[in-house]
Amino acid sequence: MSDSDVSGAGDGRPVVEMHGVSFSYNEKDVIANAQFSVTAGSFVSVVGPNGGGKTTLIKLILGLLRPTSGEVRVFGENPSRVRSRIGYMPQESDIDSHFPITVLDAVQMGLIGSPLENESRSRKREIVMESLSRMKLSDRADDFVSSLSGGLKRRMLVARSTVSDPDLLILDEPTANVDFLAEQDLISILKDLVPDMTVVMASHDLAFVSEYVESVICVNRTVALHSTGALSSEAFKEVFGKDIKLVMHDQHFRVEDET
Amino acid sequence: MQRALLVSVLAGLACGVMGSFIVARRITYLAGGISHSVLGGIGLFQYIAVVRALDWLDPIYGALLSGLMAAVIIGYASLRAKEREDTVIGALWATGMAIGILFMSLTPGYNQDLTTYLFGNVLIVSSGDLILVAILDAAIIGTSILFYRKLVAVCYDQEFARSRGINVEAYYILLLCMTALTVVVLVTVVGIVLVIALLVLPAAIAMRNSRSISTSMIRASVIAILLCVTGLAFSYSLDLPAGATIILLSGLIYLLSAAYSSIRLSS
Repeated sequence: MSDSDVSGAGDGRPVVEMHGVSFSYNEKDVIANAQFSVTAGSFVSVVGPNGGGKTTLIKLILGLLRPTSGEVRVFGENPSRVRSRIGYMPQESDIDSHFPITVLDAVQMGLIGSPLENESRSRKREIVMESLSRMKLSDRADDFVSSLSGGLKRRMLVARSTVSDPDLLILDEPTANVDFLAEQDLISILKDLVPDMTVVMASHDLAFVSEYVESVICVNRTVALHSTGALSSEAFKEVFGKDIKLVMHDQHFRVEDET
Repeated sequence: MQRALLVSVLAGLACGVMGSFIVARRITYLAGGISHSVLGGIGLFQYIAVVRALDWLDPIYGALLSGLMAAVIIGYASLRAKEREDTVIGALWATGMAIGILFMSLTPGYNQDLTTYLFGNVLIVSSGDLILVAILDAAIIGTSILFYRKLVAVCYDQEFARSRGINVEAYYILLLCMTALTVVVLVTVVGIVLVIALLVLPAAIAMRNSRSISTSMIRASVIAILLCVTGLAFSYSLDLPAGATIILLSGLIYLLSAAYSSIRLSS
């Protein structure tokens, strides 16, 4: 296996492959010559500065954008042909937070385009409630999405992206603007999904990345793959253009009951 | 009067269904652009009908054509050039009105139709208009039922909808075309100037306590029908313009419902 391959705990089959992929917008290179593959059962993070191409790379994997050159394959095929096997959680900023929709109806949207879409109404409700139960949200099924806190909204979006039982889960900045406890909660949910699911997650949170994922795809126009253990300050400097110092805090805090 | 009541019921159904999408998606200004641009088609078709002596060429077909064209243009501007969307809507709004007024002024003979189209006159609706409104209603309601889940997905989260294989562009433009059909239905009742109010107010009242868009559609349709029929009754007995009376009543009910919600929230 080459340096540009990420191997997971699955059967070694490539799930995502990029062969010399470039993408330009308004004659400006956004992604240049990306070459890597991600195998089944991996937990991978895509990191890079704002505007560096993380979301563009995610959209190329999903087939929402076509590369200017090169080839993207997901499960060995054009991504647009395997959408039913991919779960996606977009950035929350794209959603209207005041839209009148319940948690149940929002999660049920995740069944569109999957074989489960043609199930009976009662069966679909069962499937959605199972997904909500995994995210500990079943008691909020009939509440409006707008009534959920930031952390619960993220869990709802994960429920929506996993309700169709996808083989590949792609998340765009799932822990952005979320507090520490909600972040930890979300991370533990995502870790439980691997290795049954391959998870690719865009994140700007380097601390999280260094602690939880196996491999990192560094994106700032060019794309470089590193296993987390081999991450160095040179690698980060190449991506972010600055020296970045990661400090590990080995402190445990306990809240004591003063009564 | 019987035809007026029937048109009011049909108009209420259409605006309950489409108004719910428009309010939920917050595209009132897009709907406004479409509604004002229909005057262009009305004026043009009326001019051609009179000058060429084509009695069968109803101006309402011109409204349909210009409304659908405006829906497609605004839809593309909204999807592909968001930063120019306001300008495109403003341009279509003003140009449509100007074309309509121009052709109406060029139309030979006595012309009372401008006022009728601007402010509506449900009391002079013909049998032909009633049949057309019924067909448009069937198209609007049928399409909404057939594509409900996908239309709601496109309204709520376009990015996610795309990832599920939904052709977001096609469904968004379909939504705007359905809005154009609804505008043509409502022009007969309240006229171009007040169409937006009837499209939006019943849905805004209904949405306060509805748990889904589909529930809001049913409630908004009932509210719209009651407002249209009650407004019509008031205008008939008090000899007031029907369209304006319906809209005043709608506005009053909306303000009362907003005040009630506000009081409930604070207590």
